[in-house]
Amino acid sequence: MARGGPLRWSSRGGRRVGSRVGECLVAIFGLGVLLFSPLVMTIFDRGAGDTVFGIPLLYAFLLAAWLLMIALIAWVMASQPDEPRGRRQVEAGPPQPGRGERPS
Amino acid sequence: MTGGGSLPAWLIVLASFGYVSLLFAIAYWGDRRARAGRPLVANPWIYALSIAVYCTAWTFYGSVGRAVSGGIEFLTIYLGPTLMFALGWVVLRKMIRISKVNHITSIADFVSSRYGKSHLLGGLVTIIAVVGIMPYISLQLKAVASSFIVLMHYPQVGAPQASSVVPLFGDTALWIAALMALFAILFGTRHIDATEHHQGLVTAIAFESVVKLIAFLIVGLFVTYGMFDGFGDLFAQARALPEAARLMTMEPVTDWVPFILLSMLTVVCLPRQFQVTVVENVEERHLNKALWLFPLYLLLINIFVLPIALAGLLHFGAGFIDADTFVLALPMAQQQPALALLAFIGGLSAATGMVIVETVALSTMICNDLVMPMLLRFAWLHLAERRDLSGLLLGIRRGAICFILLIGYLYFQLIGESYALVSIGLMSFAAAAQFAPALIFGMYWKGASRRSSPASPPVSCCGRTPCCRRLPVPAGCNTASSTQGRSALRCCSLTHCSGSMVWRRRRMRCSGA
Repeated sequence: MARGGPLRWSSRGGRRVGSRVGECLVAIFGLGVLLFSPLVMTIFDRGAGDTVFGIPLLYAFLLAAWLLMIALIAWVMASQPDEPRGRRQVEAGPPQPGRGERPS
Repeated sequence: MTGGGSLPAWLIVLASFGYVSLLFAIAYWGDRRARAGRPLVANPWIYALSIAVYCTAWTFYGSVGRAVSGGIEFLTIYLGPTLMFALGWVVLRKMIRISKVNHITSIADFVSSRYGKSHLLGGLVTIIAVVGIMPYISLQLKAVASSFIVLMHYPQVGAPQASSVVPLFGDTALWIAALMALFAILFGTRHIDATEHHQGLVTAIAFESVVKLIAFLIVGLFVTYGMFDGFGDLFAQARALPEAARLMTMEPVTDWVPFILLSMLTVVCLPRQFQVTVVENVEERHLNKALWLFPLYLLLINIFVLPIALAGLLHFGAGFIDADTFVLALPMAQQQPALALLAFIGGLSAATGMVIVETVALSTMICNDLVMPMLLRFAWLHLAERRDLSGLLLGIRRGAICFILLIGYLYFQLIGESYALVSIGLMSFAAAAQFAPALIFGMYWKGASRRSSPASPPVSCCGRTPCCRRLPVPAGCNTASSTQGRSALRCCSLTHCSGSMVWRRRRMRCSGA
C-alpha cells in the first residue's frame, strides 16, 4: 500500500525515517507554542467587531491554528505503517539481511 | 425532536439505568471478544477514543461555565494536550516502550521503577494521587447529581443546584457511585493479568467517548442553528451584549500560559490518562493515529463551547442560572425534553467514564504500590510463601475501589457543593502535575535516575510542595488554583534538580575520597 506523508516509510530506512518523524513533530510542537503564545494572539485580538465568516477573529484564528497543528501531525504520521512490520515484510517477501546481520 | 411534553423522574432514571446497562453489555462483549482471540481493542480508533476519557463532566458542563467567566481561556485545557501529543512520538512512545519492557502497571509503578523500584516512592506517589484525585472524582458525582436535579425540575429552568434535604437513599450521587463501583469491580478487577489490560473496560470507555461527543455536538448544533441562524447570527447578537462581547477577546484571559503548561503535563500524569495511554496500549503503532485523532476529538468537542456559553448569556442573562448547567438548561428552555435527556446522558457518560478508569487505576496503585509492599513486610503473614496471591490482590483492589468512591462521595457531600466544577478539577490537575518532574527527569536525565534512592529528590519534590499539603483541605484554594499549580510545579522542578545535583556531588566526593 502506497503511503502518503512527507516521510515515506521503508523497511530498510525505518529507523532513520523514525528519527526524522520525531524531528518533524518537535518542529510542529514549536510552531504550536508560537501560534498559541499570547504574543501572537494579541495580534489577532482586535475586539469582538473583527470577524471572519461571522466568527470573531481571535476565536477563528485559534481554531484554525489548532486544526493546522492536527493536520500537520496527521500528515507527518501518514508516513508511518498502519500494520505491524512483520506483516508488511511477509507481504513484501522474505526480509533482506541488513548491514549488521549475517546471512545464515 | 418533539417540543413540549414532560420529563418524569422515572424516565430519567430508566434512561440512566438503560445507558449504564448498555455499558455493562459492551464491556462484557469486549471481554468475550478478547477471550475469543478477536480483541476489539486491537484498533487505533478504539485506542484514540479511550484516551478521550480526558474529557470528563468538567469538559461537558464545566467548559461552558469556564467560558462564561474566562472567555477563550477554557481552550487552554485542550491546547496543552494537543501540544503534548505533538511531542508524543518523543515522550509517549518512550513511556510506552519503557512500560512494556518493565511490565509497568501504573504511574506510581513507573516513577518508582525509574528510581530503583523504590517502594517508598511508589507508596508516596500513590498517596498523593489518591488524595489529589479525590476532588476530581467528587466533581463527577457533583456534576451528575446536579444535572439530575436540574432535569428533574423540567420544564422549570433555574432550579436550585442541590438540596440539602435529600434523603440518603434518594441521593443520585450515592447511587451513581455505587453503580460505578460495581462496574469497576466487574470489569476492572475480574482477574489478575500481568499486562493489566482491561479490554472490555477500554471498549466501554471508547463507546462513552463517542456518546459524549455526539451528545455535545447535537446540543451545540441545536443551539447554533435551531435557536440562532448559525454562527454569524449568534456572534452578531452576542456582540451587542457587553458581558458576552468581552468573552470573544483576550480581556478576561488571565492565566493562558500556566494553564497550557499544567494541562500539557496532566494529560500524561493523571493516573487514568497514564492507564489508558500507556498501560492499556496493546500495540505501539496505535499511537501513530492517536497522535492526531485525540487532538481532533478535543477540537470537535470544543467547537460549540463558546457558542453555547454566549447563547446561555443571551437567553438567560448573567447570573440567573449557574453557567455550568447551560448545556442542559438551553434545550430545557426551548421545550426540548428529548434533547435535554440526551445532554444528561452525555454528561453521565463523561462522568462515568472518568470515574471508572480513575478508580481502576488508583486501585491498582493502592494494591501494588501501597498495600502489598506493606503486607509483604509482615513476616507473620507468610505471604511470601503462598503460591497464589491473586485472590488477595483482587480483594484489595475491590476494597480500594469501594473506598475511593466512598471517600469521593463524602468529599462531595462535605466540601464539593461550595465550589464550581472547574475550580475542583484544577486542584486535581495541580496535584497530578507534581509527578511530571520526577517522571520526565526519570526518563531523560541519567543523573537523576541512577543516583536516586527512596530518600532522593522526587520524594522531597512530592512532599514539600505547598499544593499537596493544602489539597485535602481546599478551603481558600479555589481562587488560587492556577497560581498554586504554577508555584507547585516550579518548586517541584527546582527541588528535584537541586536535590539530584547535591546527591550526585556527594556520591562523587565519596568516590573521590
